[in-house]
Amino acid sequence: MSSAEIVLFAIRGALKLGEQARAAYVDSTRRRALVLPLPDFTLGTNLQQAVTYLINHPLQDSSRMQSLMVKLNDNVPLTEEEKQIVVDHHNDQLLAILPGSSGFATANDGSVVAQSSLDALVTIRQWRREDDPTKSTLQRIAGSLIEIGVDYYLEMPGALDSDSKSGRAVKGFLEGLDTISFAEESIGDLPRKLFIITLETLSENPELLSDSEKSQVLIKAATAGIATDVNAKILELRASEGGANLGKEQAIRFWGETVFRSLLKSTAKMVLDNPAKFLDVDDAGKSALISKVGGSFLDMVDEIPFGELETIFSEKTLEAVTDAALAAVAEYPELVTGDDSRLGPLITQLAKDMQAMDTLYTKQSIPEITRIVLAATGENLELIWPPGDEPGKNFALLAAKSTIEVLSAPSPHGSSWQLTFSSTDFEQVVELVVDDIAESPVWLTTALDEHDGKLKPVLTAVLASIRERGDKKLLTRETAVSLISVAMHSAAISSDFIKTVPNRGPFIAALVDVILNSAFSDVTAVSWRMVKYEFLVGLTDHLVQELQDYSIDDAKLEGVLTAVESELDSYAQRLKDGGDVSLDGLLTKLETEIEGVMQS
Amino acid sequence: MKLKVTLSCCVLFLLSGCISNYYNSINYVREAQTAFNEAAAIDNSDVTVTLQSAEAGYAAAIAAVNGLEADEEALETAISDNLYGIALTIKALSHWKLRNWDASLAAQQSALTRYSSNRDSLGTRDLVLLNALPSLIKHGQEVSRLNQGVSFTCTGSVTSLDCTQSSPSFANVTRQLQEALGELVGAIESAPPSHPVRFYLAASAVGVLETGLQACQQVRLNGRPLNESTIAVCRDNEVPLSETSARTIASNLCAGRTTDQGEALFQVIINHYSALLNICQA
Repeated sequence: MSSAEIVLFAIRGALKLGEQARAAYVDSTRRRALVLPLPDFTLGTNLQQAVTYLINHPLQDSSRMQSLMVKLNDNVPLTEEEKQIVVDHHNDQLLAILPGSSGFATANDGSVVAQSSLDALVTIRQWRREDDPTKSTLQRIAGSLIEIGVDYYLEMPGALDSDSKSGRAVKGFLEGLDTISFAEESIGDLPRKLFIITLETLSENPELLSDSEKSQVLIKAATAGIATDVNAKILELRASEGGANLGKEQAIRFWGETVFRSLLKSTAKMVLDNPAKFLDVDDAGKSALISKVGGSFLDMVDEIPFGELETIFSEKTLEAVTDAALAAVAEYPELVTGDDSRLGPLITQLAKDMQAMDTLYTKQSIPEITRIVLAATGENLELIWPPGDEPGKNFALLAAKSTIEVLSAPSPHGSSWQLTFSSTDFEQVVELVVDDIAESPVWLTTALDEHDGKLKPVLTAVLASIRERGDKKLLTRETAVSLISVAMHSAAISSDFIKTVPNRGPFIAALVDVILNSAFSDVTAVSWRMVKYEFLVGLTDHLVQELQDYSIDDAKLEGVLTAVESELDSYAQRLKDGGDVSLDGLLTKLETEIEGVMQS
Repeated sequence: MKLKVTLSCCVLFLLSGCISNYYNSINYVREAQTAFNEAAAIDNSDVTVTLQSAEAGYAAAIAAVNGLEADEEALETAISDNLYGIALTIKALSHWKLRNWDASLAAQQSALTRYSSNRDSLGTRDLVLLNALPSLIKHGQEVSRLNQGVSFTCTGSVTSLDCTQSSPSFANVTRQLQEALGELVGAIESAPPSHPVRFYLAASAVGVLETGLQACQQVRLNGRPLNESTIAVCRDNEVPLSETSARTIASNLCAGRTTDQGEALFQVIINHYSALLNICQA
């Protein structure tokens, strides 16, 4: 950099800072409070006023005052002391009218209002606080400092070695900021924080620098997108509330920082994992992908109350969700490109639906459920969310909602097994259900048919069997969740498992019921062996594997159940009697029995 | 490297010169604000011995504004920065407190004329004050008249005093105060709700009421009974304290407090100043 360039930069920088500093000084002068002098008048009660008042408001309870009033009436001159008594009494009468008048204290100079209080009362600011049209000094100066910093870097890239990989990345950030006039916007110190996040992310994720030129474009898009969206959200908030709301604005900025950090980290991973898919998009396309994903997550502040977002989403969970969103848009750019982005409304809908369930565990599951739905959507967009469908009709979202609705329903009164599922349980079952519908188009349409969807009734029946047969002390939540998972997976494998058995309900639910009934038939001898994760889940899974090889017509469903029931009862009896109780032996016998039913 | 540092220092030196001129207009205005604020604080403390200091402060504030007006470049900048309205407001208020009535009205008119097409640039407080200033001036003029002597000069016998031709004219004094009170109450209502300038105007209205009371008392001090003509003049020209005005004053003195307190203060004002309604009929 030549000396002339330094001089020019110094002039430009000083002028820019000087302009804003002066503007701040002008604003401060315009808003400066004035102490206003009161008009000249003698404030205080004289004898004349006191007498006039007391004539109109005669006293009943003061013989002294009554005697003084008689003297006045008779034109008998009062002593100075008596005059003061009349005036004091008059003042007391007036003060007594005021609520809380006992709190009045006479100052040293005899006044009721202290000088300091009077000074404060007549120190008048130019505008009401909510009407003040001037900008704060901090806002003007902070904005200008950043503008100067941006100018400095853009004008003298050599100073930070823009040819280096990190230099390019930082330049991308500064270019993103350069699109916004900070001194005129309402994003406070967000740019400074975004800058720090960028530097931190670069040092922790060197993969972001693997293709520095393209990374520069991505970082620029993330920066400009988040800063612009945060600003727009704050202006929207101010318009709706008729003024600034510092608490909510701070919450929006904080959420913007969190989203930005996740966006950068996820972008770094995408660059590393899938460079061909992600980096071969043209610059405008890349910018749209990044900024729209960030904007979509920022919109969550509209659905989840301030204060809850940061407790629901940790950095780690938001990063996982962002990964899924970026993967989805990398696979299907149409999710965010075009006139109407679909990603934002889907995420908003997810947050809205999960919020509506309003239970502690469902709220905790918002990040993971969002990730699961986005991942499924990104894997098979045409199947999961056909073009033109509203966000509420995304099949992954529908499946997740249905599953959580059933699992979070309170157990019926008198149920044997009343344990409540945790957020992790919800997530495990939802992931399995969503994966299954994504892999099986037939199961998807059967499970989530608008009028006769099987997902909810089957899941409800399986859970009802567990609640009915299970023992809360013996059957763990983990085992119950696995039983449900095996059962729901069977539905995706074969339609036979969701056929209705007369008086027993869906076949898979009836099968679970039979197994649990035997397992809990005798707590001391039988349950000791049978109510174990490996036994219950292993047995159910084995039966599902065995049965899926057959095409079971309706007439044989009851036969299968009876055969299994009979064999398990025999097994239980052997347990009581001390006979052969190996699991392998049981499975072999069950296979034989089932084969017999099928061939009959 | 040495050359770069030297050049940078030269630039900063040159800029610092430019910047100091650049700030002149603001400095004039801030100087006026500071002098005015200090003077007003002394004035409100009502300590007689320091009254001269207050007057010196008002004079200093006026001098700062005059300095701005004499500096063409600074004045031009102050106008473009919307600072000149503040300067003129301070000048008008300072002249009012120094009882330079004509100069005060001239500054007030100058400000309102200059900002006639863009009143918002004046700022809420200053616009309200400039509009209320004529009423404060009227009040100030009557206080001056009353302070010229302990009583109105009336004629006639001791048992039938005629104050209709008094000097100063009792009728004129009360008419001016009547107008001033009405205008101040109007100014309170023109200010935005909850703006602190409302309190100041309400307190000023109390001052007008006090002066009205003082005027009536001075008439009475001449002796009693008054003759019929004087009583008629009193009745026609007494400072009216309507319930509406009393409520406006009370509620703005009680801004931010409970409705009960506002109502109680209203009662105090009505009781305290009820003499205004009937003193001349005594």
